[in-house]
Amino acid sequence: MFSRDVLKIDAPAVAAEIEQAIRDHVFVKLRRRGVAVGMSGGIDSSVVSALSARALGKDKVLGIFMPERDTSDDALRLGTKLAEHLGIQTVLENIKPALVGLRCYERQDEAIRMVFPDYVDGWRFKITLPSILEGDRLNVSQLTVQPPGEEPRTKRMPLNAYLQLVAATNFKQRIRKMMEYYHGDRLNYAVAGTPNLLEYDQGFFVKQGDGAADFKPIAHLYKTQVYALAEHVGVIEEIRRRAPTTDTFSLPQGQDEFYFAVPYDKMDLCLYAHNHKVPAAEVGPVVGLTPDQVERVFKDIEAKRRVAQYLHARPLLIRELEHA
Amino acid sequence: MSTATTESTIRNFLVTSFGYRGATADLGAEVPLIDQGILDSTAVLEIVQFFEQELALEVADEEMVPENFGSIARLVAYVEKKKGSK
Repeated sequence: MFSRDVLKIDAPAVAAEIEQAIRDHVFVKLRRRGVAVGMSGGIDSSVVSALSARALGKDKVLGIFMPERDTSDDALRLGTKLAEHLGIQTVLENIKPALVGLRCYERQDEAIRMVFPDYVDGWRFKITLPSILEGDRLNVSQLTVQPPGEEPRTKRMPLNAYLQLVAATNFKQRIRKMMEYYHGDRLNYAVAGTPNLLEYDQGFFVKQGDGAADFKPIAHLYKTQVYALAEHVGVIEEIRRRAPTTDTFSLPQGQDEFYFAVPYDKMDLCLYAHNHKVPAAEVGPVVGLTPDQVERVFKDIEAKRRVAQYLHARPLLIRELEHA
Repeated sequence: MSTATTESTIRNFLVTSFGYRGATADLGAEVPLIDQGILDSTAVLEIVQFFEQELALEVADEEMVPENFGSIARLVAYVEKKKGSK
């Protein structure tokens, strides 16, 4: 019978298995002396930092904080608190000047003005998807802007505005990964990737940005399981209690309104059910959705997987190397 | 514009714009464009732009659903309905 228990894990056993794998991946397969990990103050990078420290020793992990203009204050505060708790070394890299140099914010603003011509510096914004729970909607993004002291305004984005805004925003994830590799190269460390199964499966990452890494130690765990593991590996309570956020745009934004159809706990269960061919009628009562809504989430999972194929694809070669 | 002309306009647009995604001239009218990956959400935006700029139709957010965009037949029916209501 399908229930929330399908995602239950034996946290000590799972942690031990991952820690053994991290030692094997980093030391044996990658031949690196430690791990560099970007720390966002979120649950995933916190768990990966903690697992790496437990696996290799706290002196072999470097946590990198990379705030920019739109990063919440909480991100750095929580990341610092966790790093102190874990006893790992950290470095603070403000990536805003690099993003200014690349005209990231300027290009974002230009895209936003294609939709809201009166948009000016100081307004906050975010991209959202319509809810698929009320009807069979396509994943067409909307832009929400909010002038100071006013109500938010939302409009559908034309294609060129949408593509430019996403492309400009992707600089953030790519600059961060570049910085992680700088420190990785400098210290002969491997760079950790921090996606969970939900993000990895559904393509919630930027190609050659947060999608790039030398190893991804929690990509096989549903987000619910990452939370379950967090307590066991010593992630501080404040991080465990915090709602997942993209921390990418200037308006606060949940991951479910930007990318996933429903909040992560429901999304996890729907993804598990879809992978294990559990009928929507059986899933509905467990996740608090109607069977129709579950069917829509299943469809959305497939649609996102089609998009993710490109994100996962390695560079295509005309011929494989002969010695490979 | 007759239904046949509407269909040929849409078909031409799909072949020109999404040939690289597998939209061919002989594509069946009932082929599920989204489920088969011929259209994705950015492709839908491109079609909306075409409808609004070239066919002078106004596409409402709530009309951007698979029921209207899921196949050539559905696209044709949607355009015909919109033209009828103008």
